[in-house]
Amino acid sequence: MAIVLVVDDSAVDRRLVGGMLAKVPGLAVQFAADGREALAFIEAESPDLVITDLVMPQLDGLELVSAVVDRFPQIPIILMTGKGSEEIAVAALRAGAASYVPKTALNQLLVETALDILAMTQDRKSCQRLMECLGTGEFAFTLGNDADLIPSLVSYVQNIALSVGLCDETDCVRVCIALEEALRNAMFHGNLEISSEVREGDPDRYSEMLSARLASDPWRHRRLHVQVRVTRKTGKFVIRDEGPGFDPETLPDPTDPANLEKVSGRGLLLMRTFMDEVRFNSSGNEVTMIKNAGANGSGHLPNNAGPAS
Amino acid sequence: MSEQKFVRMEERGDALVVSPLMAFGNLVDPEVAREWKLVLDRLDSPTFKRLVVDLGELPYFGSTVLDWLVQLWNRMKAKGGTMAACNISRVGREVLGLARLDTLWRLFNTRDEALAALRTPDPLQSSPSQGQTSGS
Repeated sequence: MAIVLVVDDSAVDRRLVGGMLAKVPGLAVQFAADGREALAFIEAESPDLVITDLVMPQLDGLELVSAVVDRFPQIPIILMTGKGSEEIAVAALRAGAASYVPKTALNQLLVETALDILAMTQDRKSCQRLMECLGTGEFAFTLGNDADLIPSLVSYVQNIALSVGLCDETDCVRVCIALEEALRNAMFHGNLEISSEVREGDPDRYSEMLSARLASDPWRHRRLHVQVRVTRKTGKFVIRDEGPGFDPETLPDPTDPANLEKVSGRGLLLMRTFMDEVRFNSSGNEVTMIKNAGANGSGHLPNNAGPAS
Repeated sequence: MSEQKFVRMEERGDALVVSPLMAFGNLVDPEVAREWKLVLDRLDSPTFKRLVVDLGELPYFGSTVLDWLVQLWNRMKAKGGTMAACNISRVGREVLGLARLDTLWRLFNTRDEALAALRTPDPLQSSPSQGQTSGS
């Protein structure tokens, strides 16, 4: 039985909305007379859906949307708006409301909207429960040199790593930073053979070279091969490009005072710090990074690292 | 206040506040490059002696944003100006610390603190290798 909380300071409107919803099998309707009462109920009962009026004493509908999104982000909220409240409806959606229904169209839209939102929420909850059962995430991608895919791949790995329980959210961010650095290195330096010197120079020349190589042989046919295996105990990330490779030992130390003001060259430092192990193959076109569970990335920080805020 | 997608700029007297709105991956993406050029052009104005980079919109960032910050720093240094960063996430501070960039410019919790501090002489510019950070 899905619990739907109806929030309205008007007893007449509460009865009207509650009556529409109560006719639907599988819904249990509860009521609150204002935003504060609603928040107390949400905290205690964790309803499946909140439907709220806009204008209420103490805490209005928009404020309630913000509070629910902030404190109970898993609970969807629908705003009922009066005539001429389109701008407020847009503001509510921007603040995180799942949807809105004009009060003039409650009869036509309210039940349908509520059921749609409940169905989507149920799908998401099922998916979350399923992901909590994931023991090992193992997959391989072969990418062209499309930098737009990198954030999506990193986000995908982040979800898998969190679901499996490899690390907490903060440590997962560190893993993602290292992964993104490795992917960008492999794509831009490896496959496209664009040096740091070019990157630090004239941006127009860099842009021209990038465009030319994305369209020319041999660079345009090169691929990025990404293998990921994540368990609760360890994450292994192997990234191989099809470029000529490089010798990582020849890279200057970006933390040397002489190099601090150089524009680039910090990617490998971040990879080595945020992963527990980073090794390259003999030709330097494949990097293997290992992250072990329980290892805290901040334990690798040098003494000069700034304090956490 | 400018209406930009990637970088927002705000003028505060002789200070320019620059806020990256997302962790763009590449400064040569045409849209990013266009906004980036606007920032550099504005920064080159003799009006601005102080630069505050507000990183509050970035939960985390990697070397691309570091590269971007160093470019801003080099630009300000060349014209004898000062720079500070503020509103930095925990991981963001880690990244800046790892790269020792917190020895080049100071870090503050809020932009008001940063703006106020830039009115005074920068202790980091007289001892750039001491690894000092400001704020917490």
